[in-house]
Amino acid sequence: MALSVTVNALSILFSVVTMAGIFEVYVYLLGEHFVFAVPSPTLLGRVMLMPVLPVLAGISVRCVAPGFAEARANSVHRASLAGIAFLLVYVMVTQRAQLATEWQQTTVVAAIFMGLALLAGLSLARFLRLSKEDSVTVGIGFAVRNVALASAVAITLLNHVEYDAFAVVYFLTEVPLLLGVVAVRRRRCTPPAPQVDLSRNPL
Amino acid sequence: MKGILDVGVVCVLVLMMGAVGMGLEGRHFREVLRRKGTLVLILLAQAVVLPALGFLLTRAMALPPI
Repeated sequence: MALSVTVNALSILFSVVTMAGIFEVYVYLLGEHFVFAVPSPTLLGRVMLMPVLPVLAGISVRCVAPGFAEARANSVHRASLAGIAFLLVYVMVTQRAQLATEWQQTTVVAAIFMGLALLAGLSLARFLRLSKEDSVTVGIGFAVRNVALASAVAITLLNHVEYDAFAVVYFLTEVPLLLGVVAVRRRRCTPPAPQVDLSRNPL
Repeated sequence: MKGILDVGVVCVLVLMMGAVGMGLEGRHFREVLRRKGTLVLILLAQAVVLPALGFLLTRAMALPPI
């Protein structure tokens, strides 16, 4: 998890450089200028602080009161899941017209993108000879983008409310993929049951 | 609508990342930062591979502009 948080935080930090480079390549390939702008330092700071401050707060709580953190972590996690469920339903109800016209194409594109990104992440992890746990982290990190953070940026900072319909479809597409990867990992990492020699231990 | 989403999305993000932080300690990050080469390669690959995948996909599926 620390690897995933670190990669996310650093990729936000370096986005000024990486986004500028990526847009230059896009302009070169497409032959036309983009309307997107590289994030300003203020925007970058706010995007960076949105995920980092809560993580630091969580770490501080664990540091000061480890028992409390252990006991309450699941409750906080459940509260976030309830919040996600509420937002999903809210967007589905309020933006049903947009969802009805866009969900099929978005689902297909998102699923293909996630599948290819997962493969790329797992291939990189194999190339780097990472542990099984880190391989899954890198694979999922490539495939599953932080939709909550992207939504927060689009809605609160850039005033693009319509992005949430896309975020909902993308999120609903990535959930089965995530659950599938977790299920495969659990199956592979579960140690086999010890074999009992019945000839030596008759019932 | 925007007001509810404004507050809701940020609240969910704070809760999610807070829960993640409650499962982490400083030593976990020290272990990650000890493998600088791996970290740099993962960041580089993310910055190169994911936009390339997105670009190829939009071209292959002839997606409309935003």
